[in-house]
Amino acid sequence: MESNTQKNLDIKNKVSYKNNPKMKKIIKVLSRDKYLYLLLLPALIYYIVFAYIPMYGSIIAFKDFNPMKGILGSEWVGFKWFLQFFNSIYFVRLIKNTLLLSMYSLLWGFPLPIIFALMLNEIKDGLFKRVTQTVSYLPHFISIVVVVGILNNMLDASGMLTSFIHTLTGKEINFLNDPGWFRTLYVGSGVWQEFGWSSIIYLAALSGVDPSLYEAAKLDGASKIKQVFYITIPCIMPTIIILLILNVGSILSVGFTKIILMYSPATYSVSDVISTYVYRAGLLRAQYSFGAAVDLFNSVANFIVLIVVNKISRKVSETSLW
Amino acid sequence: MSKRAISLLLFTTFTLSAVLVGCGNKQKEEVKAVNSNTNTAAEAFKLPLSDKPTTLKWATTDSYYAPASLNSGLEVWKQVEEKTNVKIQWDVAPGDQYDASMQVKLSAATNLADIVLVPGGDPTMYGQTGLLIPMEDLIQKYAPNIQKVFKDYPGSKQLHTSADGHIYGLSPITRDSSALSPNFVVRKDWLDKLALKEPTTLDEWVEVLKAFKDKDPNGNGKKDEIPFASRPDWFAEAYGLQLGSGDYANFADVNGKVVYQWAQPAMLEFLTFANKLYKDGLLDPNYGNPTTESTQAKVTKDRVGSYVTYPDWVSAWQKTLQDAGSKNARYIPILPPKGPKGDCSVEISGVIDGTFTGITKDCKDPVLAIKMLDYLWSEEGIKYLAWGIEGKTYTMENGKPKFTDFVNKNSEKLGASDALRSVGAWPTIPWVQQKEQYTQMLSQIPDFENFGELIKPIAKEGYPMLLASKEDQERITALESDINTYRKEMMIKFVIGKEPISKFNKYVEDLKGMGLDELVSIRQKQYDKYKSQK
Repeated sequence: MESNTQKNLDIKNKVSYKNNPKMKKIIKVLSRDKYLYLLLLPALIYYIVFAYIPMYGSIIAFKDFNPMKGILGSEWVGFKWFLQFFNSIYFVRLIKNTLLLSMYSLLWGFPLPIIFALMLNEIKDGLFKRVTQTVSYLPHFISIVVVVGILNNMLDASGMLTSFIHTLTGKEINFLNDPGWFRTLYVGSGVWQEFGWSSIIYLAALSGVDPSLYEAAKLDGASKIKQVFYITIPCIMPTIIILLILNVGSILSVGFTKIILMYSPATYSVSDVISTYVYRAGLLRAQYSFGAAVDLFNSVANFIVLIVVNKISRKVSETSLW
Repeated sequence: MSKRAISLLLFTTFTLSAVLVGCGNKQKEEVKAVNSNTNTAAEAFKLPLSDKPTTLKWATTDSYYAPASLNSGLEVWKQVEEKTNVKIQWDVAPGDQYDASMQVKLSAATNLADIVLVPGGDPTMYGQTGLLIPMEDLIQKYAPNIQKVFKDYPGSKQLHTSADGHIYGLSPITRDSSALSPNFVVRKDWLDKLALKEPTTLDEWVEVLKAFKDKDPNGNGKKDEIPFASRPDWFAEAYGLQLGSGDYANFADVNGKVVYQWAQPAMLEFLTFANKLYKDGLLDPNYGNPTTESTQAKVTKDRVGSYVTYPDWVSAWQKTLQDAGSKNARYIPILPPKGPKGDCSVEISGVIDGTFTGITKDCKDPVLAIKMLDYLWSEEGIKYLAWGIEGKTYTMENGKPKFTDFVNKNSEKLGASDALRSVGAWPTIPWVQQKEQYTQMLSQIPDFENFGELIKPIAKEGYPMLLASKEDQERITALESDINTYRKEMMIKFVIGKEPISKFNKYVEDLKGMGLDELVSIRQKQYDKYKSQK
């Protein structure tokens, strides 16, 4: 029905506005759905004001930014800051740390909510299910500062967990200053905090699965496990893939706040990532242009990854963002 | 409808940016006008500073005694405002957050406070880009007290002057604070209990620390003692290095040659020692990021055998510890250990402490701002900032100020400096520290009366903080950000044994690969210039 009206409109447009059919069509659509677009407007303004307008500031990555001369008035220096970053001995390490932290987070953090949602889906509605769900969401609402505080309290030299391990095994593990533990702690606490919350979207997708499919499968003698693999998972596959693309698209931007709170020079070798480096070199040491260049590089790399993954996904699975 | 909305949006955006650009231009003109105005005759110092009530906006780190925020209308500042007829509107952030938040404000370069504490130390870069205005002419004309202080403390003016000849900020004068520099303290009652004498050499120190760890001096049946609760860096002075002030301790003068301390051969010897301390469990396992609070908690829980701290905190924390049940607890100051080559020194602060407060381009009345800074360095201002409130924190005896029990025996168990901070004295802004304050404070702390005299022979001033030119500063910043990151990381790794000490040479090579030689040569050039002017 929708497409029929569209066709009619198209025909009408072609007849009445021969000179500039595209423009006229846009105006037509805009005036037809004006209230819908009005609803869209606040979000649009938000993005223009807070995401698009500030983007012009990125040009300081190619300038020698001087606060007095302003963004437009500062001198152009070309790729000076990018070269400084590429030649820095930390370049490889920063990329590696950033990628590894994201990939580990994705590796553990991505499948877990799906499994959790599938498990919840098999439980009959009732008190147990509701309590489990609520408890699993709770950590999401704890601020990162508090989560890291809890970690520090449990894991520092006189912390609960450290003392416990000490009395059990006689070994004193220096969790917080040992580079070997950093990724585990970072990823582990992240997964703990978010897996319940992330499962919500899958639960929503699961509730959209047509029950008649299950009935049909049951009649054909499919076991519970078979039903999960041949009905449930294929049905929520588009959701999974879209979320995967979105997650992979931000693979080079790891949570900066949490790392700043958790890291120390002792663990820099695994914990120093692009965003923390930008904070230290760009902001604390007031090398604004250098910081902007590093961050711009990060964003562009992210964007490329997003496009590539989307392309691959479109070829392989026919599901994609655009 | 929607078309109109879009054009309206575009219109607003353009007008907004036009307005913003307009503002920027206007401010630049104002600065020029002010600069040309300063060529009038020198003015005598008089109060009030302003005929009609005026407000100055002042951005700085908040008081280190957190409960008495500068924003909470402290007594000292109420009286200062009354005397000067200038209201100060504080824009403060806690010490560890100030730098980041101020850098963001400075990068925007609009609506800056009149007076700001410069983040990151050197004000030259901000001065040369025009965010801070040069102060030397203003000082010449309106600040007799600042001039007097410059004269009274030789070398202070030179350390305030940037490589381009301008003065962009004022720094606290710390020449006379040496008696209150951080010192080694040790639990005398634990020593007595274990029949040990006060350690003097490194070997004796190791012996004492081991005894603290193994022989359960706090008698609770658990091996929960922390023999040494501060950074091991303090032991480096026994090897002829001065690492106490962290990042500022990068350089030293060895026979006129500037060296990077963290790459010196002596560093290798020190690291070998520190690594042994760590392996033997004599250091706090979390020594990497100690906070005052965490150290205080450990000390007052009867767990710490020795540490390095400020004298006035020793007595306050000791009191808490005694009240909690350890009646005999007693920390005594002790001279730092003698090294294998006989090195033994205490690092004392230089003439100025190297944090600068400047006047910004947005200040509408730089003359009033400099007068305010000048007033705080006048005799009356010094009394407020060093001594506090007459009748409350000090009384006048024979024409000389004397601290009361509010400072000496604070009923809330605050150390002397925190007691003063609670009324607004002992601030985070430029002030002239007084020798007499320290002598009096120390005389009130049992075991510390003669400590100032005791450390005099071994007191050694650290490498001065020299102000670079903008070009040098940019190179220094770029080089140091990588070098310091790597250095910090490797230092901890060497000490906790994540990296074998045998890799020290490779570490030095790596530093060179990051441009250490260039950094040292820039510093050498600076230092030579400083020496030749002295």
